[in-house]
Amino acid sequence: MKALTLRTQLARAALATTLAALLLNAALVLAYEFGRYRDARASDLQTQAEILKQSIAPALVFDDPEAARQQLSPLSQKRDVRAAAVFRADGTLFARYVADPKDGTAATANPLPQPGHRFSGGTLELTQDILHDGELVGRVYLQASYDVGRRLESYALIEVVVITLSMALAIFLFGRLQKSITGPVARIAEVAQEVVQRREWGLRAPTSGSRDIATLVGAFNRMLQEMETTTLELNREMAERHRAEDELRRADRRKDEFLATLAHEIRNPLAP
Amino acid sequence: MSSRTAAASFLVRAIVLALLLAHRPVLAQASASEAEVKAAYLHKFAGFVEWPADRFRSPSSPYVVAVAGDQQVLEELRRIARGRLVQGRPVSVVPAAPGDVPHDANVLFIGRGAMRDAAALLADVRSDHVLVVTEAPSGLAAGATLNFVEQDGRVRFEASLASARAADLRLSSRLLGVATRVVEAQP
Repeated sequence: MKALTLRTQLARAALATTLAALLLNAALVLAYEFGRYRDARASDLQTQAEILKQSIAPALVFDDPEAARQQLSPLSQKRDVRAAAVFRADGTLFARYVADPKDGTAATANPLPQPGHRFSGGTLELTQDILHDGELVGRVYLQASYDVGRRLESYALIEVVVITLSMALAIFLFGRLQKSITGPVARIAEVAQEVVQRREWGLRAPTSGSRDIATLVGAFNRMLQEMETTTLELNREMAERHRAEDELRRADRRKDEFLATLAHEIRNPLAP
Repeated sequence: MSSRTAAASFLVRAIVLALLLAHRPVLAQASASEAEVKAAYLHKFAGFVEWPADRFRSPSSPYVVAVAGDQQVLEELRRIARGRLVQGRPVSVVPAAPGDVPHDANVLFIGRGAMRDAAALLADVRSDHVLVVTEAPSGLAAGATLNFVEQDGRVRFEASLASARAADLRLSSRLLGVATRVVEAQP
């Protein structure tokens, strides 16, 4: 496995942090939106029921189911309302509206007999009491589609776009900002490489960047300085030793020559 | 073959039974006494009509409903009105006859039995801001504001805006919404 450069490691850490923060943010927004959409839909349908109650009460009081049907028919403008019904105080069906006649919601009893609302699957149901002069005269029931899945899907799509743009911006900004951190370190590495290859002890890394890197550069440069001094000293000492060695060798040779001459003179005295 | 006939006859009988069961509420509705329904409506009408403010001494003064020519409706209305408020006011029910209509009456019901005296009764209440209700085909023409009619076996009512204006009464649009017919000008 190839070791990673500082730059890559820093980039990975920074971008992973950014992505994690963005994802958490997106998840929280989605959760909030889910709850808000639920409440908004319930309160929307409640308002719808309040309006219906007002207009339908006289029809119930004067027992006119036809008028009640007419009051329900404008619901066809609300595409999410699938069915509506008005029940008398005794629970019998008074008037009904069904958006799609093929739909199976032809029940003659109220599916939600007590006032309130409930979510079940893709459906939101609601029942409200209809009062007239403080007396219960009937109940209105509304059934609306509740497609939170599609709603969240479109939100998730927006989140994907937002995260992509944010990450692009983060990469761009990181590319700019990381130079002041990784630049000096990369230069130290270059100088070190050069020193090792060319044995050029006089080179120095430029002092720049943050305090930690300045300390590192200072220490590196001091080390180079020490190496340079030590190397010069060693070289001088070596040269001296070489000279001394040469001298010794020369003296040794002269001694050999003298001994040879002396031996010759002893064996052949005063020979030509 | 015979088993198929038996099955078919069973099916027919089941369908007839189902239809009968489905119609039960309607039958029950139709059997409710006409006087009961009319009394209930008379009791509710007050809640959908606005009188000039000076017609009442205080916000809790009763609605006074005078009934002429129909003892059954009078009794039924007394029974319904007991202990119930309409728009925060009690309802007091009194009998009426030509020349003997209470001056504080808010509603006057002229039953079929008193229709001969309709002109006299209407003359009695001409300037008193009274909601006159009749149950005759000629009711609105005679000057009544509301008139009971029968439609598909149910008690319904029609309204005359001209008569309402003449008596200085304002009928709620919610009431007009359930009227079978609304007459704009004097017929």
